[in-house]
Amino acid sequence: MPRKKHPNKEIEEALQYAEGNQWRIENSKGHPFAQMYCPFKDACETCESNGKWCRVGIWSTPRNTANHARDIKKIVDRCIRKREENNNE
Amino acid sequence: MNEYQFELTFKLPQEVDPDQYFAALEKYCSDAMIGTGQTGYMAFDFNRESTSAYEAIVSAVADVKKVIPKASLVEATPDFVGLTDVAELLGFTRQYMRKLMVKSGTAFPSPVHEGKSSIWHLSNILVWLKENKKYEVEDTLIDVANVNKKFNLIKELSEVNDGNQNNIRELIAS
Repeated sequence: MPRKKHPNKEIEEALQYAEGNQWRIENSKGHPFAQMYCPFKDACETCESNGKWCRVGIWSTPRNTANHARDIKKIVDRCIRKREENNNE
Repeated sequence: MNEYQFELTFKLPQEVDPDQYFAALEKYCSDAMIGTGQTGYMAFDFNRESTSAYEAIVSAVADVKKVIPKASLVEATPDFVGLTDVAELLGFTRQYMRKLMVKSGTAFPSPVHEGKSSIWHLSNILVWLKENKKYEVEDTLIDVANVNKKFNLIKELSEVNDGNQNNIRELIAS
C-alpha cells in the first residue's frame, strides 16, 4: 500500500529525498506520522551511530516543520556519507 | 531565545517497545528526531528553543522522563570527542587539528583518555581555542558542550558511592 503524503510540503519533500536514497517510509497507526528505515540495515555494525539512526520517527506536527525537514535530510546524508567512506576503505 | 542542538541517548527498561511512547512524545519532544534503530535504546536529536543551554537540556531530559519514567540517560552529545569529531564540528581538517595539538604541547587541554584514539571533553577544547587561539566558536555550542559534560560526569559519579570519594578527591586535586 502506498504511504500517505505528509500534509506539510517541506517535510513531504524531505521524505521524497529519503526515498530517492532508498530509505523506506512506513505509515504507522496514530502518531507519529511514519517511521523511516535505513536501506543499509546490514551495515549497522560499521555505522557511526551503531544503528541508532537506522529507524527514525517522523512527526505529523513537529514543533518546527523547517527543522524537521532539514533533520530528515541530515540523517539521510550522514548515512550515505558513512556508507561511501566504508566503501572507499 | 536561542536554539540549542544536542543529542540524548536513553536506555529503555527491559523488553519495552519504544513505539508505545511516540504518541505521548509528540506532545513533549516534537522538537527532536527520535532514532530507535538500536534495540533497547532511544536516541533524541533535539533542536530546542530556550533561554539557556542548561534550561534546554534539563527540560529535554525531564520531558523524556515524563513519558518514560524508567528511561536512563546513557550519554549527552556532543561532549566526549576525538580530534576528528572536533575537526568536523569546526570545519577544520583532522591534520590541522592534530598540528594545533602537537604544536601547543602541554598548553592543549588534557584528554580524558589517552591511547590509540584519545578522547577529550569538547568544551575544554572549544574554550581553549576561543581564549588562547582567538578562534570564533559559537557560544551556543560551547554552552551545550559544557552542560553535556556536567550531565555525563555527574551520571558517572553517581556510580561512585563509597567512603573513599573525599580521599581520592583530595589526592588528585591540583
